[in-house]
Amino acid sequence: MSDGFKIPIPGGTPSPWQPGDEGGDLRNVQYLTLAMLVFSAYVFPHLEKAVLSYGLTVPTDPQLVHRSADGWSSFGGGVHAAGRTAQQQHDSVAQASWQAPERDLYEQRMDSYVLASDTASDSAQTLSTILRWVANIQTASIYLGLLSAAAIAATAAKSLLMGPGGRLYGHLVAKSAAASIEGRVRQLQRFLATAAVSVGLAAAGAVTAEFTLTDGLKLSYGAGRPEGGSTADV
Amino acid sequence: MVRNDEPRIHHSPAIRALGDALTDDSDGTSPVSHLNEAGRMPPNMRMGPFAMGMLGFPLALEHDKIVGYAESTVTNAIAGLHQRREGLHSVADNIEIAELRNEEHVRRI
Repeated sequence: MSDGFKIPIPGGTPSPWQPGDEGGDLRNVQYLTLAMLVFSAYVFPHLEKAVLSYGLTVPTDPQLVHRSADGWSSFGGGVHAAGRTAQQQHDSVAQASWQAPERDLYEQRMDSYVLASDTASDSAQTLSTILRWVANIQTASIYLGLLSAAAIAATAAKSLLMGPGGRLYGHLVAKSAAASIEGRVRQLQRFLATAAVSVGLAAAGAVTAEFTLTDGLKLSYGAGRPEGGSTADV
Repeated sequence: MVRNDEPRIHHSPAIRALGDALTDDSDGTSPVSHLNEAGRMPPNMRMGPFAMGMLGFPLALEHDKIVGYAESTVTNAIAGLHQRREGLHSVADNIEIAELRNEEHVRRI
């Protein structure tokens, strides 16, 4: 599911291992959306908050996030295969060839290695799936933002060139008229406070990810690492 | 726990072959090759701080930190498998030396 579930991005390369994939395919779309919102806010001042809100999401880059998801998917597959291969190699040695307590010790080490490989692989696949969802949500939001900004900017341009009119225009004018300068400033202050809380939540999410999404990926857990040992206790 | 009264059958070429199989590809793709493949992540796997927007920078930074963890873990795992291969070879060497000394000891008796 993780490899193929992608909302198409125009200009995005199909494989992140191909040269020329530097991301940024939707950045111009976001800058265009932002420009349209700035223009709209010039005509309908209460849209300042929308400009600020959208500005804080720029420069989101779903292409980079998809590339990381591809990388984690590949990483998980490789680590899983390494563990399984080591186990098969151990199992392929006939009992008649090596029958000694040392073999049991080696088997225990291999079992822990396989377990660590599987844990690391599961974590990588989870990261891949999460990033795929994040990238798709980002892509959908960018398209949606472009559509709504285009509609508002078109209404603003039409009102400037051809005079006021239309339901959307009436709605925007009413909202702008209702918002005094002091009210708008208060609204922006509240929004900035909300943004600060959002950054705090993102930081808390990052700390949580450090503990919940790195099982088997961090050296402190000994992930995928056969322990070193003397030749006597292989 | 190693018990001295248990039977021991050692076929040192098989033990050496087991060690070699961890790192060499002569009998199919080895675990080390699989890990090398896994470690070859896409170029610029690190997203950079603003791939999730200005507000998402703590998450993007955390992601890039986890990429670093994974790279270190793979490097360490590859080193560990090489170490394990050397260990198996040393075990085979030790077995041969022990058997040779046993034979000499028996001959002297």
